[in-house]
Amino acid sequence: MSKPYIVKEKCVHCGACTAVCNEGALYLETKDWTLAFNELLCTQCNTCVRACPLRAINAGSSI
Amino acid sequence: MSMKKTFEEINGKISKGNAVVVTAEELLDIVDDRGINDAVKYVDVVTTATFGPMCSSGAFLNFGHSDPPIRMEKVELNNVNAYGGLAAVDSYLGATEASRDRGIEYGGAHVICDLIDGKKVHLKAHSHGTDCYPRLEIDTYITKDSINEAYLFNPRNCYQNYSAATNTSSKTLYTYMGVLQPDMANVNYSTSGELSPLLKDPFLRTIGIGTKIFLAGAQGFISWQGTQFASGKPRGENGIPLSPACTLAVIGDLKQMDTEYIKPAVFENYGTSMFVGIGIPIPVLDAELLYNLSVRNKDIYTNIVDYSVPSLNRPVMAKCSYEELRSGYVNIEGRKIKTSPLSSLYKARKIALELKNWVAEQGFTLQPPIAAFPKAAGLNSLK
Repeated sequence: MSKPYIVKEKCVHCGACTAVCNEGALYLETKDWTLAFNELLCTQCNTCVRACPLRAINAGSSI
Repeated sequence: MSMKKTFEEINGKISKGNAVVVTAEELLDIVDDRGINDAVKYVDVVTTATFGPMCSSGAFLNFGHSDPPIRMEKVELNNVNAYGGLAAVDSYLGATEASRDRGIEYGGAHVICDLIDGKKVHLKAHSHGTDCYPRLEIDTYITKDSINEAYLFNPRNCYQNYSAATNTSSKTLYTYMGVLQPDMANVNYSTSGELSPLLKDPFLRTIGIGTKIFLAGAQGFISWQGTQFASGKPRGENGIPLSPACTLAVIGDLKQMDTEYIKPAVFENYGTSMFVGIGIPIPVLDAELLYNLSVRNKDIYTNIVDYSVPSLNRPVMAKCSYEELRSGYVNIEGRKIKTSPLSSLYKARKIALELKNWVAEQGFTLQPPIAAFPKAAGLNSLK
């Protein structure tokens, strides 16, 4: 099983994905407001994939 | 007597390369160290910026005439409908227009950014034909270099103090303010806060028609008041409107822009939009202006409105400061609610620094407003 993958070149660090990440795996760093992803907290719900307006998150696979 | 400066004096210093230019965030430390009056003498220009979704955006394009010529009536660019009721080969492409075959996943904003990136775009146009424009259809490819004028013209950008959003209903809402989870599980907000142009010059003393700006990586201008401009809204003691107020219509040469600072966006189950990067340099003319420029997130308040109520005037669930929003949580009715931005502070900071470089190092002078905006404008609603 693989976690969602953030395409760094597409991410603008808007934070829209953090609104749907109830596990806190996706969060904005307090220092420079860039997006960070703690894979250990991710439950692979993949809700972030569709919540990203830049389509910068690819879904993880269940295989 | 406190110091006063003019646009002319400040531009003189910019032209000589010795203007003191700082970002709005950098100014806060300077005011802490030196106080307002000393900071007025020291600082000449403060750069402000924002990078967020701005739906009311689009581009005017002139394709050039074909041989024989066509008066375009129905126009499609990469299967996205563009407005053809503008003479023969002028067209307006709106950012939020969805495509015929891919829906909202590819819309006007995507076409605009593809043009900026130099990509080929498929143009199809039809006409009933006239004696002087006999051609009935054309099917060809354009690039930003093959066409004549291409300028971004955004009727409503830079919303002053847009409300934050939440959802008290039992189902998820998909909105232009992002995904709002049920039962007030989250609050979304869209602002660059103490870096935001219209929060730093809340009375628009230095911002008006003709103001030179950073627009999506190119030099642009403020062309008119934005639509839904409401300068008459009630204000707090620091002059900042307590609810969404002024807006800006902006214009710039699409061919000079950079998709580092303008991006197409898709809000799930809502529609296509466009992230637009705007920077506005504000001259430090006097202490009153510097006071406005030094207002902090803790003193800027906005409303949190409930998007589950299907009415024009949505109920206000709470008021909060931008400091609270930035903290990651707000308190509503005794509950700790998670907050998330939609506007990228990271990108806004990058723009503010880039504009600082333009002014300090590249001689980017400031344009006094050619005409000021109305001071007490209100809004009509549709009956």
